[in-house]
Amino acid sequence: LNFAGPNCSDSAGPGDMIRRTQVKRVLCVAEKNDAAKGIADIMSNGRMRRMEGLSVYNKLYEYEYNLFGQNVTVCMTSVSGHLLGMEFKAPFQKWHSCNPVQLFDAEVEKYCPENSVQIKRTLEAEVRKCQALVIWTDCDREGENIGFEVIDVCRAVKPVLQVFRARFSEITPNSIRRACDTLTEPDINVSDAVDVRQELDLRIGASFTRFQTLRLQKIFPASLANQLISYGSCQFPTLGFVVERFKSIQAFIPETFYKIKVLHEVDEECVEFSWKRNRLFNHTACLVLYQICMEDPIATVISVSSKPKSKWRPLPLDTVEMEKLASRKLKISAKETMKIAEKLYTQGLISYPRTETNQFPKDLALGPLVEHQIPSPQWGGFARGVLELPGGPNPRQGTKTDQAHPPIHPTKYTDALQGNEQRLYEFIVRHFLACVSQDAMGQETVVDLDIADERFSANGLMIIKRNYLDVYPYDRWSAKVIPVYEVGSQFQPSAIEMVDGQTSPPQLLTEADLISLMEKHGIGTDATHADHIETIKSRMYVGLTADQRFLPGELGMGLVEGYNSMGYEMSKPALRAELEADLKLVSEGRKDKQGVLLHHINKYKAVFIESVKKAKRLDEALSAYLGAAQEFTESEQQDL
Amino acid sequence: MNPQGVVRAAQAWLQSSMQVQVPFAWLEACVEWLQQEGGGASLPQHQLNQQVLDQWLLTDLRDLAHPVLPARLSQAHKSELIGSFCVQLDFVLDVSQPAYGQLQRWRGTDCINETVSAVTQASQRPWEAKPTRMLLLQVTDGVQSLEAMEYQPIPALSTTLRPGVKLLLQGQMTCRLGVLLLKPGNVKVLGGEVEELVERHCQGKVLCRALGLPEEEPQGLAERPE
Ligand SMILES: [Mg+2]
Repeated sequence: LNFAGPNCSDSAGPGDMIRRTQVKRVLCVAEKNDAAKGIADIMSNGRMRRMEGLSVYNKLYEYEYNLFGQNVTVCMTSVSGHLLGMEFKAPFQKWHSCNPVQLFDAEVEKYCPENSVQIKRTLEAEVRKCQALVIWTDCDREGENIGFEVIDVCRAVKPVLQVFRARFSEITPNSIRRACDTLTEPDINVSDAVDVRQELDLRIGASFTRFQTLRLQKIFPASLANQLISYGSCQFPTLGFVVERFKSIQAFIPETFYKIKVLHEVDEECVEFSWKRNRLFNHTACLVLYQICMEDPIATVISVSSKPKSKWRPLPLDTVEMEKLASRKLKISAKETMKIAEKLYTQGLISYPRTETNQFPKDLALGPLVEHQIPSPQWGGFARGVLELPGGPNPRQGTKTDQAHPPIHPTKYTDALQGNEQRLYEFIVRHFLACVSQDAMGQETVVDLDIADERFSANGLMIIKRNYLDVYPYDRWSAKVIPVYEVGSQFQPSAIEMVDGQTSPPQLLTEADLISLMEKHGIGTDATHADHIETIKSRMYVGLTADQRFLPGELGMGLVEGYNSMGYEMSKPALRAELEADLKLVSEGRKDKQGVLLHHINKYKAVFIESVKKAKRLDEALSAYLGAAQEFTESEQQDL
Repeated sequence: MNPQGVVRAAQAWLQSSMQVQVPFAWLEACVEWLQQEGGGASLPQHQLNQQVLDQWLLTDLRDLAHPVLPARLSQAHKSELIGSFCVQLDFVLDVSQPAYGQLQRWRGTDCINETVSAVTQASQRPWEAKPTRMLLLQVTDGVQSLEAMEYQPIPALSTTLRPGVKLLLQGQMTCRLGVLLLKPGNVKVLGGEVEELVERHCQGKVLCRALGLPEEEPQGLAERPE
């Protein structure tokens, strides 16, 4: 049989001839060894032969498979994430080799780092024996780019190679088989967007990092002599959010307010009615109204309304929501959450955990996914209940979709996990079951009172059906008893009190708040939020309080204030957000790679040149935290 | 008409159509000045009336020292007030909200990020009161100053009223602890301002005072609409 299928678009020329080449042996490359093993296990029905490659961490799995309508031998192997890195060419690599401004134009190249050399050699050796290559890396931007690294390495030793892309969202038999049946082309636009990001991150990061590190080490030798003071165009806005919140807490001025509170004791229950005016920031004004009430303290019930109230089941889970919920409810950091989720995914327990989608596609059969969970002693009963609902599983649907992956959901039941892996898996399962079940239902009663023309109200809540709450302990909904009141009836309140209180500042950011801010301002992607947060922690720009809230450190404060005082919003999100938006356009093929690259290089270069000119502002801001600045001469500046 | 007659006619018109009471001596001087400004030609009475009113709207009532409110009203524990009274608003403050947030909005330094939190599904609590605005007005008849509060919402009032603007208070009003309780029917905005007060009582300064902050220079911000 002759093989016919899509070909990689950049292999112009003898395409027809290539297509006629008979395929006997296919090289498959996954992003990690675990994924390669899981996919091979499914494709071979557990009958693959395991062999060693040159890299001890990346095994080879060999088996027969019916691909392209014919029996072929598959060699499935893996990389360990990116195979190649990007670096400046040799003359610019050393820190003192050039003025950092040159790093905006210096030549860069992709290279194979030491720890990837053996993986690369294995690929080169294996591809020589194959006629086709199928890319099985994760189906996201980074995965697409890693795919092209593999393609480039393989094509270099075997130019006549047919290249395919397998698209899948989970390592389950159905999903893997469907991917095999519908192989496509790799998407160069998506990969280009990653190349642009890598190059910009390298140039911007290296230039600013060298500039500020070399300068500040000399100016504050006592505190910074041996410190790397890194800069990144995502890191800094992230740090900026933390500093901004800290400063707004410092600047906050508390104010006293006054309110009137009405209490009514009925059969040992005490109902508190709250003032419709809520609170007043003037003592006399409140006292006037309080006196009016006290002169005629009879309450008249003016309305009693009762209406159904439901508490919504959660939306299907996307990455950002998972990170936020895990951080808040399970106290697992975003970084740790993603690490665990990645592992659960490669074990075939959950679907791909990097997704922006919060609606289930119509063609995804939810019934079987729910059914998988029936064996669980904890939530199996609930899962059975979901299947017995009229109409079956009924997901609440969000509005976001990345057109690539479904919301995060369990793909298999397990009771063999421990610790945080177990807790995160349980959370994902419970969240899934909750979102395909039913909203909790209750009845809310609101009672409005009039006392001398001032209005007060109290509410009660009766829970009628808990529904999703039964499987979702992360949400709370408490019933609140309120006695029966008749419209028009009057009573003497047990107490009418004038009370005071104080306004309080916003709180320091939690990790979940920080992710929300990054998402709102378009800093990083759902795949990278956790990494940027980790970076500012590891650079000591921020620390964590006892209750896990972010507090800026002195260096972090000084850097943000210094750059802010230059007038450039380097620690504000706008600059990076525009970059991120352009990357999206490149990945969709709507903007040109080179154009976007040049535009942003020039923009950041201009900012860099200005920053160097105004570098004294940085010293000034930091000296407020680190002590007096050492003199720094113009000639030393030139030496940089 | 003799000059005294012109002044009397203006006084009668101010009193009957606007409930504005002014000292005769001030009115005399005002009419004389207006006629000089008009090149000595005698203005028709209706034009003169209007110009006298315009002058009054821009005058600090303290300069006229012509009380219209009952004496010692602000000291009474509780009293009822009936009638029509022209007063001047010196400044206004919304006491239903923290002054800090108002100052940030006024300066344009309010930070939307402060309201961002991780909780995406904000739980709505319909029974929780949305604060109704309550403006607290510092008013004077030129001799006696007191506070007046927006007891019920009064659409004609706002924090953008110019300091020194003249108000007509009318109908039945309660005064407690030196605070007049105003309802919508009690207030009519006549207009005007007082130049020195516009500067001294701009919203930013009023808010700073409420917070115990040093008063900042307006830096052109007084021109802002809010
Ligand atoms: Mg990946």
